Amino acid sequence: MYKLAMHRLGHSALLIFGVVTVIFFTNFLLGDPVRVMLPASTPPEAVEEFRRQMGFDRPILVQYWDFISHAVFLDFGDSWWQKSPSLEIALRPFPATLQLGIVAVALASILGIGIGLFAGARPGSLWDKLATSLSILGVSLPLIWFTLMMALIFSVWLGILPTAGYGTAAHMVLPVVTLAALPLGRTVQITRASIIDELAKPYITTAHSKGLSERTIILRHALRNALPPIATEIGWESALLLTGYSIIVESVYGWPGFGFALYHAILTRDMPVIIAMAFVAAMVVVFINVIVDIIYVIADPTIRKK
Amino acid sequence: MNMSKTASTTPGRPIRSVGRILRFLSDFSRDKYATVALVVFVVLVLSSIFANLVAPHDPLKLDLLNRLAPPVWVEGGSWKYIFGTDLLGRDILSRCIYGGRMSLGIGFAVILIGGTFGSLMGLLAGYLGGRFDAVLMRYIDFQISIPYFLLALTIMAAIGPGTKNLIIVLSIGSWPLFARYARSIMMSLRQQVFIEAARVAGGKEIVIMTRHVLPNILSPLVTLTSLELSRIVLTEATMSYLGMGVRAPTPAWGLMVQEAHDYLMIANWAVTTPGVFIMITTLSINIFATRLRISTDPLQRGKH
Repeated sequence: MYKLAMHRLGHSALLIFGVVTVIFFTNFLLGDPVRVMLPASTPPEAVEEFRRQMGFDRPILVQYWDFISHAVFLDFGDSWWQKSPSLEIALRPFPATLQLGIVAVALASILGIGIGLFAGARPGSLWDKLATSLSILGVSLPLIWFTLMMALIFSVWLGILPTAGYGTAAHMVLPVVTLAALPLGRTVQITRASIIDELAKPYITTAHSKGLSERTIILRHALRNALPPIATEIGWESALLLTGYSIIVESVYGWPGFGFALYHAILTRDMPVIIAMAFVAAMVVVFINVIVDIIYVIADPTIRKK
Repeated sequence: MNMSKTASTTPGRPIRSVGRILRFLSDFSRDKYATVALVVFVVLVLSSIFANLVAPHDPLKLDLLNRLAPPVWVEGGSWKYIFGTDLLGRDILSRCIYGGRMSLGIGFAVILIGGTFGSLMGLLAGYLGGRFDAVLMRYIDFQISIPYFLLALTIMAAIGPGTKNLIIVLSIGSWPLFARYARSIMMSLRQQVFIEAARVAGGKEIVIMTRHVLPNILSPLVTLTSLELSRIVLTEATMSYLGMGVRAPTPAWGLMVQEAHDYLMIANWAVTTPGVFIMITTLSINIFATRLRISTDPLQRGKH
């Protein structure tokens, strides 16, 4: 168990280091920082002068070493547009997204596992067909369109929810619902599939012959064994929610969160901020992986002995 | 699914004869959801290919006197522009049909590049094993944990938006999935009894690969490809919507949604219609893929 944990820790450190490195090189090799920072009308001599002053004329590996030796002390440099540390800028919008993300993931997990169990326990029934159809609908939704349609229906036509903004619980409804739709569909599909697989196994027959109730069999035995793939899926969706879905949802609903800030940083090519945000995202991925690992251990105690 | 009809196809046995394929087709056509989904998808693909014949108008032609004309069923709409026009008076239906050419074209291109490369790498890794396999899998684990959108958007912002660049970036994001899948199938197939039997009987490697292995991995690969295609169509729409994909004035669904975004209150049809086109595409692909998995995977059969 201890060895396994250390192995995972090393893996996580490598992941964070790798993500930051990849984002550094895509930014600095594919784009010219000087051309981003100066207006196009700057005379060429001034451009070269500036390049030298900023140290962008040094070999890329030297720049990388300079960057990484500061980054290990959590210094990612200052933002090019806002004169404050990039990590600060990357972390400032984070709580707002966490607020949405936690509610959305909780909603998708509880509803998704519930519906998936219900459908998987009765394959072929009317309820199962309904759940399967809705889950396919959920994973087919184009988020860029769905967010706008929800705003049109609930804010413009019905007028019961605010179009955009931040503050009250009412402002959270549309972002949460749109963020949860896709993960919900996926969770229903994966829960249903794994519970059907589990229910076909011999230990379920044993449980039946022992006279256990249907409820106990599904909730205490089948679900526990079906949990690992479900946890992996939800973890995966949570990571995607932070760096993918949130960009769309927060832009459309004007939610001052991580996705919104990330998109802004990418549009303005603010490289230090992009790298700092990649670092934050990688940390979150690692944190999610730890939670998924804990769920694995809870579901399967034999891991503890390894 | 009717169990008695399909029970003769035991798990792991290759589909070889024409009779088997015909039986599969008749099984499949009995599934009305899958058939409808497939027909819808084929219609979308055909209308994209023959967009110049099907579309009623030129998708780029402006009609500034008829800007934001409503669709035919709304008061003030006319049959000239069935789904209405956008801010520059361009016919939305025609733009959606041509947009399909763009979105599906990109989707198929990415599948072709990422799918071919990924499957080959995966099959090779599964077949060779050893160090090649270990290194490849390590790399794939790493790439999958990188926040994909962040990387894709950063690359697109650096190299500039455009169709070609978008195809490259989407292919990079897509191949590991195929590699993983192809590898896992290869691994499990290597241990199957019928492969062992073919080898013991003195079958040449190449014959074993094409006659016994390929038919078996075909249907799971088709399922994966379909699901991946729907995901790529969604990603492409998102990237174009964010201004990091197809460039205006080329019609593409995601771009159309973005262009009409600000006029949602006064001309919702300009947003609704391209969105519905995306939705119909992803829905038909997803329904088809889900049903295909059920009708070709013998282990899944009893479950519906």
